[in-house]
Amino acid sequence: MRATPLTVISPIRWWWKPWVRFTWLIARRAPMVAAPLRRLRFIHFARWTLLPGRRLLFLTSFDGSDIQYIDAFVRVVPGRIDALYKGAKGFPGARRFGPVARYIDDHSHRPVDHFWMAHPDASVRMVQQALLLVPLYHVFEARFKDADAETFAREWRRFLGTAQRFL
Amino acid sequence: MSAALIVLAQLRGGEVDAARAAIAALDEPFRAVPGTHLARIQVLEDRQLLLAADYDGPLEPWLIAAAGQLDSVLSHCAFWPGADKPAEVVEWARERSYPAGFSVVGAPYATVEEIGEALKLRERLTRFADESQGLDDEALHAAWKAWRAQ
Repeated sequence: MRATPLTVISPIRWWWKPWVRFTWLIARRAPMVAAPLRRLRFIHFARWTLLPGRRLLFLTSFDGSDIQYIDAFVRVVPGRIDALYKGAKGFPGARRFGPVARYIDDHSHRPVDHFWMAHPDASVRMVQQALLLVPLYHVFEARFKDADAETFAREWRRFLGTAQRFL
Repeated sequence: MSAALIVLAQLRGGEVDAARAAIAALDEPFRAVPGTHLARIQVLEDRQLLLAADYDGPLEPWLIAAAGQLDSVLSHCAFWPGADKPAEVVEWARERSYPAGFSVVGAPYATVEEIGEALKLRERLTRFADESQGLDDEALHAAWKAWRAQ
């Protein structure tokens, strides 16, 4: 399996809950908030939810190792992570890899006893490429399925030129 | 668009190890639950069981199918009604579920089936592109027609 699952539960201060809800409201309405995360292209799913007892649950699965994942978060979206976790007890701030990695290690629930994916051999990038390829190919197929050999071959090579980045 | 389910259920006293053993004995239960993108089930440190999944379609049929596969684990949870009582299973899960606050999803608008089909097409096209390199126009056309008919 390519993906790694991670379950992190962070105790948060009582006054932090409304703020967390507010950040989610903003993030849902302003796609640019989560855009850098989406661009990382190794996150299958990342999900946050509030639990009773003043806890913030983070569930994620991603391609690669924990180290790469945490490093990417720290490098790419430290401000957003701070905005979400500043009110978590013991959170060291998202600017440096070491303290964040230790925090996650301390608050992650391992092992994930059972984890299952429908397409375990496919990375996020592969899935995204495949989904982009489908309409491209279907357009090509519809247009040139009845073409003569010369036209077909010319257009196939053109199609491959475009589709190459998805293969 | 896939939906999220996050259920946190209290395990009965003294049944943590039994729940872990039941999970270890599972044999890919979610394979038999149509529309499951990904799922996890784990015992947390505070004697709680976490069941989280992303799935296609409405919740009820997914839950009922999952309950059938996970009965041996969920039977260690307090007030678990048993997989043979679908209406109560749905109610039990709803009472213990928490809404996702915010999510980032790699392929949010595709179903499991669509992703599977897309991956299959990608793999086939990649292979065909490799194998058809260097063919002249007539041979390429004929090879594509044969490939397409497969």
